[in-house]
Amino acid sequence: MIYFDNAATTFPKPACVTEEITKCIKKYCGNPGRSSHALSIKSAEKIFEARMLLAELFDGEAENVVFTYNTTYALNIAIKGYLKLSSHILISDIEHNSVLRPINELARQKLCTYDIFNTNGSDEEIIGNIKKMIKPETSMLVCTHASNICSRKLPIEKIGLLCKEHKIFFIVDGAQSAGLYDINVKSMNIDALCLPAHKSLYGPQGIGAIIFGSDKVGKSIIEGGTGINSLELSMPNILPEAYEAGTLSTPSIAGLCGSLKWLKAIEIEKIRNYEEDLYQYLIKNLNENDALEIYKGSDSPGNTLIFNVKGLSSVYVSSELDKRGICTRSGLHCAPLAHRTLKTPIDGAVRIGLSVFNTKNEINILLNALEDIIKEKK
Amino acid sequence: MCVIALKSMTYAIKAKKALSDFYIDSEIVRLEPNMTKKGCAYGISFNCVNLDSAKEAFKKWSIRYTELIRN
Repeated sequence: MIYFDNAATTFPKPACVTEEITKCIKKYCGNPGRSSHALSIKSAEKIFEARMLLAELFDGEAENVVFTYNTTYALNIAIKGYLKLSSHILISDIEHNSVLRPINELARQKLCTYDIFNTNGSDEEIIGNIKKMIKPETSMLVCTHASNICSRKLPIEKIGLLCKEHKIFFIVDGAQSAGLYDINVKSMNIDALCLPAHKSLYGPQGIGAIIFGSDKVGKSIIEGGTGINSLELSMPNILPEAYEAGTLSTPSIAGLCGSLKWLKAIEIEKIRNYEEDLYQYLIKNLNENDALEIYKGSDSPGNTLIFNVKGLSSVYVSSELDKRGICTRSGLHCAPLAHRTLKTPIDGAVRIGLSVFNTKNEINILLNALEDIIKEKK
Repeated sequence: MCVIALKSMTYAIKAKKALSDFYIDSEIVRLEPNMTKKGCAYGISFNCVNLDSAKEAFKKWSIRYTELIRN
């Protein structure tokens, strides 16, 4: 089996992830932050270790790292927790539904208004597009760092500086970039970085995080037990507990600890270079096939691209690849806005998402399989 | 023993690491109900001989604590 659906979730995971999860479940999985016995403390220590590793990787503070179920939950907490009522929000034209839907819902409830800025062009053009759309009541900007369907990346450092100048709360969706591209919460003036464990951080599913740029707490979103201040009817006004009601998944966070240490040892720059090299190889070969239409979105390399076989639906092509033991993803990839921006057909496209575990030989097998599918349909 | 009350388990773990950084043995403890008005709180316990070094460790690690209790 060849796995090219890494933009949805990376597979396989490094062996150390399984080892850490198994060790946690077998040896010490007490409830973190709820007791002071040895197993509870050991679990809490493991969770703090993960906070420290994330803070180190993304230039934040360990106590400002909030664990969530996934990036979607992280984005919902950051957006709804820090929303100024009746204010204006800006998002980009390549956003995933995890950004578009919560903001559209807030707008539907008349709690805010929002506009979408164009990301086609140079960094300066994108910044110019944003500047033109900033209003006196603009209080938040939410954008992805890297698209989930193409190699387009947004200049988050420049956007962060602009947001700082205009006192706009800046939320970055790092779902596709965290672990692959450099993100520095402090120096990039990011107020909330939302990320998943299970993509380019190579951790398990079911864990995401928000790395806040400061210890300022917004409105609570989910209320419940936190193991502290139990007599109070409101959530504690401190990070990370303010946004961590209920028991965290210690085994999953232990697994993330394993993958973060693995990443640190390998260095993400080497992974990025490897994946971008694979991407260049893939796109060069796809470009040579006239039967394919590729929706690039950017001239810069990345690890994700979409294409169609002319005359065939993306669902059919992905299904035929699956029959040949190749995992890809068809459709709109929960990003209809981004698909519209890239002008794909109504049924979307086939997506290839690369990881450090893919090889050029696997790409060759994919290219041959595509040739077969095209020949069969002629 | 000295016990320093901290805002949460997260800060208690951080405090333990800070003290360990200064070679001070410590233990995370749940605070007695008479030590907290809000209910369910954590603290870090260590030998009062190390109090000055502990304060230095907390300063270095940017740990704000709410209360110091001497047992």
